[in-house]
Amino acid sequence: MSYLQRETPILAELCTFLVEDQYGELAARVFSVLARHGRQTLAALVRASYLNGRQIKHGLVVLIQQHLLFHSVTESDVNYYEIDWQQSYCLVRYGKVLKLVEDRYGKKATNVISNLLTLGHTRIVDLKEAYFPAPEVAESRGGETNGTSLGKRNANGERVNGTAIKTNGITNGVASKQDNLTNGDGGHANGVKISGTTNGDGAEEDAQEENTIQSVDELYAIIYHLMQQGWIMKVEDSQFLSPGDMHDQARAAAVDENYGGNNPTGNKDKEVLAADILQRKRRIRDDWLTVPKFPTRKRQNAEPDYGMSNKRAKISHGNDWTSHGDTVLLDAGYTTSQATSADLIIRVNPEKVTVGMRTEQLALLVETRLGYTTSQIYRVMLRLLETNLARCYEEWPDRIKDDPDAPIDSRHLVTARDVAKNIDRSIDLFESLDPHAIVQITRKGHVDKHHRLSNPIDPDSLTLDDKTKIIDKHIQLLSDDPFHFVTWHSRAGYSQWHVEFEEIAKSVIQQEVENTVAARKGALGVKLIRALRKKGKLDERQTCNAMMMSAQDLRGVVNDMTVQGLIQTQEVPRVERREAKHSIHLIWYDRQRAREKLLHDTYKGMVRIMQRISYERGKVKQLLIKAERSDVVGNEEKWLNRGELDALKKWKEVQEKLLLQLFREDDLVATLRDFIGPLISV
Amino acid sequence: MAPGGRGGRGGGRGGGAFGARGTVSIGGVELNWDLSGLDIQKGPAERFPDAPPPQAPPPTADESATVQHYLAVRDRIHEGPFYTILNDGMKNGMKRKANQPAPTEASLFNPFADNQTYTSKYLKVRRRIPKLDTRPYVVDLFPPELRSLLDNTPKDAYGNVTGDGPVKKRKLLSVSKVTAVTRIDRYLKEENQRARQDPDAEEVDEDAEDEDEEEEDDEKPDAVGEEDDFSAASSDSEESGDDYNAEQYFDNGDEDDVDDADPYENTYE
Repeated sequence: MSYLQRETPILAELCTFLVEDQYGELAARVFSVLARHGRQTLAALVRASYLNGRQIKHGLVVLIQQHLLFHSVTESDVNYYEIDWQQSYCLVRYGKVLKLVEDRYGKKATNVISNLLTLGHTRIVDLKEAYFPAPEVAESRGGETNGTSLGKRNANGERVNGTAIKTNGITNGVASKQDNLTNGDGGHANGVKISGTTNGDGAEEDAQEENTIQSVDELYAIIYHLMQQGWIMKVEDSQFLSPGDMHDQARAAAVDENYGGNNPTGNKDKEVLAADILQRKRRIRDDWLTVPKFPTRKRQNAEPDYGMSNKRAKISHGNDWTSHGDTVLLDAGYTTSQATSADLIIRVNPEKVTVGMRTEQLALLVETRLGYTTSQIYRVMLRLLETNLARCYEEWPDRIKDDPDAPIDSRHLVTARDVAKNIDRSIDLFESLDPHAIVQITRKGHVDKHHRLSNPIDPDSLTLDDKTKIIDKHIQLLSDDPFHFVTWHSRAGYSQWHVEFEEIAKSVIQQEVENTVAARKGALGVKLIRALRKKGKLDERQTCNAMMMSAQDLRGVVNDMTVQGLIQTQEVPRVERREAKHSIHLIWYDRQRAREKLLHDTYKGMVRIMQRISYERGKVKQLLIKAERSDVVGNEEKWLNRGELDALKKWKEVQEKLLLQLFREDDLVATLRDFIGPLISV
Repeated sequence: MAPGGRGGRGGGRGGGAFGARGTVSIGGVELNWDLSGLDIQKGPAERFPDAPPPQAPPPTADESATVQHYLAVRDRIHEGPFYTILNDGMKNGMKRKANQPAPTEASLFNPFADNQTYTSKYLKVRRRIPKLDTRPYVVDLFPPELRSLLDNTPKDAYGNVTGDGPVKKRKLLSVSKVTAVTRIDRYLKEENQRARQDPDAEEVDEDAEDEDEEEEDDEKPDAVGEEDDFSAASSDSEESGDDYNAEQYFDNGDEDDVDDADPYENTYE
């Protein structure tokens, strides 16, 4: 069973709360039965539950639609249902996904992702029709909104306009790549846009329009872009197989192909088979992420464009989420390829979310250690790498490690020049650098005795070369840090760097454990853990020597931390009759066990928060019911009195505060669980 | 004991360096601890000392944006067809123990809040079972035994597919085109707006309401104006997917054959 699938009761409780929070009671009841009984058939579910068959079936549909369940058919045509724990836990990350996408690709992409989260998996064509309903459907509706009318116009095939807007967006960025052949309409669109913004009265409408998706092409382009970046993946049958089923299938296929259906007997053969199974599983999984051909295509292989996207959204009104060289043009066979891609089923890729969370957390860590500017540079570096990282760690690594001297894939390298090209211009790069280092690069003026530059430099006037050099100084700060945030690789492109995520993840986990111990037991506890980590298993006398303290002072701390599960104990008898007096009592620190214990505690904390939220909601239940009444909605001021409005506001604050804490604990869970697989004990 | 012990060691070490070694007597015992500069509590310690709980730091801009996103998505899911509230007095989905009585109507009745009043007709109707026929599904991804719930192709009385194309209007997903704000936010914002623009309240009210309605239409495309279309709602209520139309309850008596006999479908919670 996969590491992430390992179920603990507390996780089951947490996930049940999360499902109830999002999808209501019926789904949560069905989920709770599966959480309690594990893999079940429909009949067994009905037997185990007080719900009737119809309710359970409906609940299962909801859960499957949101990918919270695996299901598989056996030879005897019986369906088994099993919980996807990872996905169920991911319910708590809905807010984070949207925030991460918004930071990277802007509001429109966020809108697409939020719809995908709400709907579960969906066909692209269905999504398209929901955004841009066919004309007769739109007309049958009463309230026609702004977005719909626009959509209608574009759905009629008036593609010229859409392209023109895109061209317009590009002209702002890279003038040389302007595509004037399209039409003269571009100028027109441009003029309209500008007059709209300069007037200023329509500013709000304009912003609104800017954040809604205007045409089918745009929608497709956004989806395509997000798929390329790995945030959206396609859905296949095999994704609904539980890890066990997937393993069985891969194994059966491997045995059939290589051993003619007979299980291998020799040890060596078994190892080969195991490696083959892993490889097959990886292949199936990687296949989910391949991006199929789309109606829109990239004209040029674009330079990656992260860190810019956010700023572009503010500056230009065009297609912000595509990169500059990334003119989205229509294929010649637009309609045919549209038909093939329309049936594609897509969903949000949960693994990519953890990659995004890792980027943000590491950047925050750098901010606390090295300052804001350096953290921004690190963020840009990590985002550059993100495109090529499908997941934080390989869940099914090969048993035999490939040799460490193997060349690193160039896609996992980043240069200072890349950063210089992509970093937000508004950041003052000189911040938090040694002025002497700056003088050394710019070779202008000197540093006076107050540590100020005698010849101040305007950061805006820097050439790309100077910028690269200055950024390189920041990167050196990163590499000199005890966490070794980056590692030097080669001199190409003014120093190439790579990030050893595994090592960083290990130290971050260790740091979290130490933070917890420091909060519970103070510096002494941290000292003990570090001593044990360095020395391995120690008996009491050795511990005292290592810690340079008396046994009496130590015992209390050791006992407390043992009870909390952060320190392990072992008793080794010296004589045949196992007497306490004649045994050796060892204590040691195990990173993996401490990590799991801490993870468990965090889950428990999250459960408590969910319980607290539902308690707080219970307190204002009647008020919430009243506020939802159809006569009250829209007339709050008329039907709710001052006290009720205050209570509503207070409830909102309480809920936000509790959710905030929940998400912070979720960050801790990500650090402890998602960035690296199980660690081998000492 | 603990403060004394710490002082003792500190004193021992410090004493060597500074030579300023004082003496103190606790309980008649002369101790050569250096306690200069320390304020020793001689009396008994307070039994329940004031220990304010640690406060979490306030949210950063990113964190509050995350919370807002979460609430917005959750509210959308709650308005959607999948959200259910059973209100059957059970804690989880497991079968009741033999000695555990089933909750009855009477035991679930809250005499303070559940009495039907005039305004009950405005109450939001919460589903007891997900409404599955409001959107298209990728039926192939579901196990065979559940597919019958999702099939959108119309069937005649014998379960055979009629005609070759779907007769019914094609189902649409409901998407929101703008990133939504949460419900409570909306209330409070509107409240604030009204408070600010008090003088010409009449006009503003109208406008705000209109906007509000538009917004609602945007979110659930087929919703019928809740107060105005009192009688019109019943005609195509199944297709239109207006799940929250409280009036359905009153009109429901004469169309028994519409649904697959779900007793809860249109009831109040």
